This record gives sequence, structure tokens and C-alpha cells, in this order.
Amino acid sequence: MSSAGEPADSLEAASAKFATAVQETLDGVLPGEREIISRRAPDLERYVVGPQDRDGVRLLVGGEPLATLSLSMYLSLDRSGTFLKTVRSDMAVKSTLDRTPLIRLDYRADMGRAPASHWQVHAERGAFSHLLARAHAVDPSRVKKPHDLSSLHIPVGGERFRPCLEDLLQFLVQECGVDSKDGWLEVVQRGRELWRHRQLRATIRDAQEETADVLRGLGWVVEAAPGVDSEEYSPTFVRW
Amino acid sequence: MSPVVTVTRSELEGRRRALLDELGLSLEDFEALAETRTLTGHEFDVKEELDEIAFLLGE
Repeated sequence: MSSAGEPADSLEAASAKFATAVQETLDGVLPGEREIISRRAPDLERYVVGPQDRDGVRLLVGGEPLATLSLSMYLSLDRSGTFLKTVRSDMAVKSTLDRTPLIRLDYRADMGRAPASHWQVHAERGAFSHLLARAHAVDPSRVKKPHDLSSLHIPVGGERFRPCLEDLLQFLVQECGVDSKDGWLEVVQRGRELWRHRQLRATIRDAQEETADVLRGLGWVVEAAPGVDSEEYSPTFVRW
Repeated sequence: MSPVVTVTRSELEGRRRALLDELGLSLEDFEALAETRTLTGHEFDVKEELDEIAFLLGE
């Protein structure tokens, strides 16, 4: 669900379509009700897609609400100024006991020092904290919060190869035991297939010469038309 | 189709003031706090909403 892929003259409709896709995915996987909306900026082509209820999407275990899923998908124009793109997404699973996050999956296209896409795990591990504290003692700029494991950003594939919402949903159902609806796995797999094909298409645009080489190796006849800008978009392959 | 809700600049700015007033902090103080210690559950919720407001305001 990275890009709504709609022309710039219908960005509002594209954001609504994107919100509808998120709604349908959640409705196909999780029991209960929720409404996903697109919040539009007052005077900019910017949208944030997420639950209308700021408390997030309820996650049930044996019918009991034990956690919530917060979702915020930030949409803006892409580099070409033509398509709506997810420039940032924040997904956080929070305990209903204290609203503290348990695990987070965040992505920012313009991320600075941290990985563009990363998990943050809100947990404790003494031996890990020991390592971080020693690094902090050697040089505080290496590790700023040695006693806070959630401050670590665990990299997961960069902009193009990052996990999608469906991966998080399958993790919640299959690994965490969250209640699910009949047929949830088909919904997840269908959504993941769309996501990965969309990411593949974006990656091909980023690496056209290499793509053409691979196709030639497979027996295709591929030649660039005059005027094609095939320069590689290196951040896709360089940035973590 | 999911609804699109357009929020006004004054609504966003008012909501940001209300969130910060509740914490008794300026935006700069809150950002500094988030850099130096782990946020509580409520503070984390506030940060999420402040980030969203800043994005919609084009900041």
C-alpha cells in the first residue's frame, strides 16, 4: 500500500481509495468494527490515513480487548509531483493496560540517521542494556539511551523492501495470538502480493538498466527508446 | 469509499495548543523531553498526534 498511483488531479480520491484498502484489509483480518478515514491538510496536498478513533484499532484475545493498533499513513506527492505516495507510516501495537507501545513498525522516506524502515521493540534485556551502557560510557554519542531498548531502530529493508501492514497483521495473529476472522490469511496474502508487486514496479523504475540486463539474460529483447532517463536512483540501494 | 475529512489550520493549531497545555509544556520542551527519556503511554499518544498535526500544517 505504498502508492495510490493516481494522477495528481484526483489526489483526494486516491487518498480515499487508499483508506478504503486499509479498511478492507483490517475488516478482513480482525473482528470488531473500526472506521478508517483520510484527514486532509487545509491548504496542501497532504493526507493522513488512519482510524477515526484516536485510540486505534482494538485487538482482541479470546474476545477480550488487550491491545490496540495505532496506524498513521502520511501521504504526499512523490518526486515527480504526479503520484500520491506514502512518505511516512507509523504503526504501533499498544497495551490497553497503560497505552505504552509494545512494538512499533515505522517508515519515513526522509529519515535522517535512523533506518528508513525499522522495528522498535519496547522490552527489557539486561545483557543488551549492559552492552549499550558500556558503549555509552566509551562515547555517549554512540548510544544516547543505553537503558532504553525501544530507542534502537532495527533496520528492515529500506524504502522498497520494507514490511507492509499485512506483515504486521500476520505477526499479530500468528505470533501473538490475536483474534482473527475466518479467511484472514487469504486477505493478508492478497494484500501482500499487491504490495510486493507495487514495490517491485517502483524498484524497476529505480534500476532500469539492471532490469533490462536481467530481461535480456532471460531471452527478452529490450532496448531503451530515445530520451529515456534510465539513471539509477541510488538511495534505493544505498540507504539503510 | 472511506471519507476524506479536511481539517482547518485553526483546528490543527488549536488542537496542538490543547495537547501541549494539558501536559504543561511548550512544543520545544516536549520535543526535548522525547529526546531524553522514554515517553509514557499518554505522552506517546500526544507525540503521534503532534507529528500528524505538524505534517498537515506543512512544517
